[in-house]
Amino acid sequence: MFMGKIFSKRLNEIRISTGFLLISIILALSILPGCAEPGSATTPSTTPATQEPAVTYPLTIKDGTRDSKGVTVGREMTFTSAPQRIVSLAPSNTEIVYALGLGDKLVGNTTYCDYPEAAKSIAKVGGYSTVEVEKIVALKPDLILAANIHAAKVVPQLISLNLPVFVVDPRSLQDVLDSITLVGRVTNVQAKAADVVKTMNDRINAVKAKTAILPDAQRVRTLMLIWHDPPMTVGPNTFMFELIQLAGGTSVSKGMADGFPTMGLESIISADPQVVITTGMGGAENLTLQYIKNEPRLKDIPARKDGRVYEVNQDWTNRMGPRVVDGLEAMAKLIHPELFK
Amino acid sequence: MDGQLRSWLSNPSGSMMVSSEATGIKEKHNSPTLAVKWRSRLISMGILLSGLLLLAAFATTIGSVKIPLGTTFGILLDKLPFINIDQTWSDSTATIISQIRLPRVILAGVVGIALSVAGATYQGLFRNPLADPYLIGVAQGAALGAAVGFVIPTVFPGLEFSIVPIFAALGALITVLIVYTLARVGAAIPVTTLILAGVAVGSLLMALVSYVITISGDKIQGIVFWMMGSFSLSQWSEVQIALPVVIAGSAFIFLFARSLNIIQLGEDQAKQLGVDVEKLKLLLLTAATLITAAAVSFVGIIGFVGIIIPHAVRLIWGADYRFLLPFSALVGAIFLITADIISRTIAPSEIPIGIITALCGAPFFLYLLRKRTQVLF
Repeated sequence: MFMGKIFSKRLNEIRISTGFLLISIILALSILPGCAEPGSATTPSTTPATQEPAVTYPLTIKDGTRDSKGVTVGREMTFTSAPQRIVSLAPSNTEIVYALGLGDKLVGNTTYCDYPEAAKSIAKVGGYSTVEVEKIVALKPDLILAANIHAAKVVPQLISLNLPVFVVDPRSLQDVLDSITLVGRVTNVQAKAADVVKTMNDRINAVKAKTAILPDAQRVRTLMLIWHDPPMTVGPNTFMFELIQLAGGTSVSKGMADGFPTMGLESIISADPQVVITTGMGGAENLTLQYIKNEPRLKDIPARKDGRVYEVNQDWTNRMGPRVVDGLEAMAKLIHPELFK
Repeated sequence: MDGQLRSWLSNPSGSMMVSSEATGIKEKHNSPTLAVKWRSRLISMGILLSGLLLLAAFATTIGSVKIPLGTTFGILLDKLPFINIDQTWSDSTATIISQIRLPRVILAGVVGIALSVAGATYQGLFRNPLADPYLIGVAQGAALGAAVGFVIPTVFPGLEFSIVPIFAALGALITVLIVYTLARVGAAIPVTTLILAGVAVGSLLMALVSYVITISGDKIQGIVFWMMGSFSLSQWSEVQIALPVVIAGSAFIFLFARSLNIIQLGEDQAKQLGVDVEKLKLLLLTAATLITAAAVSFVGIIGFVGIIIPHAVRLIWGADYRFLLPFSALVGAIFLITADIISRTIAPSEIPIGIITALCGAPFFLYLLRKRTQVLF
């Protein structure tokens, strides 16, 4: 059955390409290498936050593992002492580690971890979805910070090797704050974590103070695109959808499918977006921005007529770490320039 | 008619059933039903052609945006020469109908024609029911070309919208050239060698595509979505290139319909009947690859159409290439336009067309496989 082999190979290709699609969507949302422009660093405020119960060792704590429905169930872990050798498997986790002032304890991260600058020179344990377990073992970590993408394969493998893997899986703005608090507890830097969270909260509240009160009529119809061929927008269950609402916009993808639904050109025209925001890495490299700015068939949408086709640094909106606040502020300025001068 | 496919599938020589009239070989008794057969087929063709035109018009009336029928046809008729209709619609409605939907529908039809005709041609040329435009590495070559096109740093702003299709088409053509050269044994190109070389080269290219994807960083989504196929951004400039190439290429292949019929008897017999088999392979391989490249370079990889459509046509109208080719073209266009309608309207967001064609194609493919009782070679 020589032809049968070919046939099954073809099916495999189809399957692989579907797998690629899923991976690519996840990748597109979380790993893309960073841009040259640094985000504004979070400066710790001087006022100490409310103290949580002090950490005593051995510490038993639940991580952010979610079940198949996305509900946080948490896997219980016990730490005998504060971790001194941390391996991060995601750029967002790396940024959390540095924000907590633990950069000197980070012994391994991924090729995509490029922020802050110091993260680039840390030993690499692979890409984002492709983790090299051997390298992790060799680094003798006492804390491995994994992310959502590792839940299916990498995490079970690390658990079977008795490695201290701790999943961080934030999906909303509040989740990001809670994750920072959680990692702060595990690493015994609660005061610092509380500071970071307070600073972020202050900035979030400063935006909310101006946008939360806006009546529907003043909310700007915003289209967020992560890709143009085919045009893909952000579904109601995504973090970027939440950012649009918080920034005082209303996403035109309301009522569309979850995840990252494809939107035809005619849907874009009839959605009549006043602002289009693309995620990208800056100017000429952002094909989606170029496309929306130049496609003749979109010349009549309000965003084009008013010159309001923008891009926001994808690392601010895709990485569920401390810089999501930069993303929120940037989007608020783009959507409501009159409120945020 | 089902028996015809079965007998063809279980035929030890792997050749498709071709009646003597189809090969032009003189027979003593011309059956009186011949004229009736011809007439009924031509009538079917006429019905399909009108069906295709109606479907294309209908496809233009539906989409995610509700536009009244009258308005749609008003816009369409207004486009025709010598007809002037007073504009009662907004400019954006006109843009949606004439600049977004219409080129999309036409391109879907053109791609359907290209993939089906190319599939029928490859199947006939290789005397292999599972041959399609992708078996000999055309798709993989196009994918690699597109992937390279995506990762090449853009030199001139705006160039990125044209470089990918060009690279994809080049990738497809170069791949077939390589496969053809590799498969050459002396002056002949044995079909088995051609398929094996195609499969091997295709696998090699897929590995390279995967490698390009792993190093592509943020370009990854471009490559992956291109590989899934999409009519989302179809525009007139693409139709203007794809339509003439596909129509001319299909017409060229149709000129060789009788030779394709004869070659089903086996290459040796075809040679004895005066068919220059090697020349035929070169010409038809080139033409089929060209129309495939023209189609996939703009819309990406769309699987299964090239396999399902010719087989469906064989089941209904038989294996005579003088009918198989035009019927495949018509049915292919109808199939892909319909699949595109589904992809545009079934859900709140568009579904990649490749998924829909595969959902229809895979069961048929399996059915075909279950029916096979003989090893092909």
